Amino acid sequence: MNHPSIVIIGGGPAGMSAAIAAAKQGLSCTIIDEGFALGGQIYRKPTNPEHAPTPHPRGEQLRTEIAKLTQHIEVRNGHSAWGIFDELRVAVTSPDEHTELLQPQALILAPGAHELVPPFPGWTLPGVMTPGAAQSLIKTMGVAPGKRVMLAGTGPFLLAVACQLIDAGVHVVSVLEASSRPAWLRLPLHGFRTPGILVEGFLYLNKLHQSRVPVRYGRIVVSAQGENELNEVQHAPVNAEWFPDNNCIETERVDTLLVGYGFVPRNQLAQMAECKLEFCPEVGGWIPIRDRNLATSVTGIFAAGDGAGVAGSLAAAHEGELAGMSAAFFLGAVDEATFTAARNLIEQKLSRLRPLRRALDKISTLQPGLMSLVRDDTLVCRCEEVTWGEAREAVCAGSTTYRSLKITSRAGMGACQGRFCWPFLSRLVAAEEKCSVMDIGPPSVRSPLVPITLGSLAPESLKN
Amino acid sequence: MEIEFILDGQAVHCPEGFTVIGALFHLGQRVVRMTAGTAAPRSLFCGMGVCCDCLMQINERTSVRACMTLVQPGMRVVSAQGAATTAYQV
Repeated sequence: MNHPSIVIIGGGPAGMSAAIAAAKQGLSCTIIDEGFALGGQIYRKPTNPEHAPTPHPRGEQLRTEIAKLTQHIEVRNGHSAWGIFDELRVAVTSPDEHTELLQPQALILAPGAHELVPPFPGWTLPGVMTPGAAQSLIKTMGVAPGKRVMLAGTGPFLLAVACQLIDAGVHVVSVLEASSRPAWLRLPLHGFRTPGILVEGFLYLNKLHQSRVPVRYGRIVVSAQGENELNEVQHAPVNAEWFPDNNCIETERVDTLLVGYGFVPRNQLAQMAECKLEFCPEVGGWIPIRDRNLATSVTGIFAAGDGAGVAGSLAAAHEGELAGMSAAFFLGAVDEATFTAARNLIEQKLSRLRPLRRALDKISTLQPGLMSLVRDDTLVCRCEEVTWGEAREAVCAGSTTYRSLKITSRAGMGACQGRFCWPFLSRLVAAEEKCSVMDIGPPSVRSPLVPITLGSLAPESLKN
Repeated sequence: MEIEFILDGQAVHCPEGFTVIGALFHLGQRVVRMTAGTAAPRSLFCGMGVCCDCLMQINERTSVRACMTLVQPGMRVVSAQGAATTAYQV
């Protein structure tokens, strides 16, 4: 078997940019990506171009560049990287259920991030989903997530998705932003080095205004109701710590609620490779520790993009390029002077993005009030259907680690492997133990990281 | 181009290039399964293969993510009404 020099996990802006940078230095790269086409979540390519809107030009540009480098870049879409063993051996399963252990000389992790949704009464009802989920339906197939849609959470992503829904002809009822309006009004002070992004944000707000979609600041969704599907949402104004004022609850009839409070880096492969992690709540939680070259603590493994700290698609592309160059330098395909010059240039671009990003991170920092929405009968672990009350009981009885909480309550034991519940369960444990979330640690990881069949692991000789 | 596939034993149609979850939404059905524990309805949640809420039985295989699977002609999709869908009950 021919092993590529570099395996890149993730085909979003970071992964694509890494492949382009390394391939230009003559290295063979393989991109492993679960999606149907390159692009990641942000630059999703339509699977039905007739129904879907025109894809984002930046994504198209990256795909075109990759297509020009086919001599060096192998793209494996629909493939799942579900484990890392013995340093750089990556287990990859294809859509037709063949599993391979790829053994590259360098590995670039660019897995991206998933959304953060706090548990609240009614959050498991069909019709309640992440903004990204609604976006995926529209971007790939032009399918509407529902008829009357409300968005709630924090951050500019909500505005972007709201505009895409409007363009797709969906009735957007309102956008609820948890943080206060004054905080947002101060943003331009931090964005003078990135006027393009500010203009983008302004265009979103303008479109919402013209479409008569109110953006209501300082409000959060506190509960959702419905029989088999969502049909009603309660929301309330919040104070600076996002504790809702339950005397001012408003009810809105909607069939779809998109909730997103930022993003969580997908750190599982880094963790499995035993890269040292650090806790950085402002960029989403546990991330691999990286040096200036984006190298992790494990020799030969680099990490780029939102999966190594949420910073958005533009930063992800720059980081990807840097990781690609670093891997090339590590493998001796580029000399030090060239590498240093390239790195300096990329660092300049990254530093330009930083002030606005930091300001956005600050505005969208999770506040403790978000933890006050759960009731004892609210599910916290969606997979195993464990309620907040059950989890709290287990914690009070002494299950104060991920492993013990899993064993005693089943929370975190399901198919998502604690990705959605742990950011909140760890806060519950920290509150009980009177320590910081950092002391609790990330959920333990286990392979396979995604559902694969037993048959896909069987040797060819045993397959019929 | 429309594709025909089988949803809960009925022949249904969707445009080509649709994911299973996209086809269901297109057909006006958002509930994809009932949970194993409390028979509660579930649907699309994260849309990117992470949360595993949209697991369905597809071509006799359980626990397939409907958001990560494209509809193929003749595909047999079962919206697990009360059937076991989580791994430990298979």
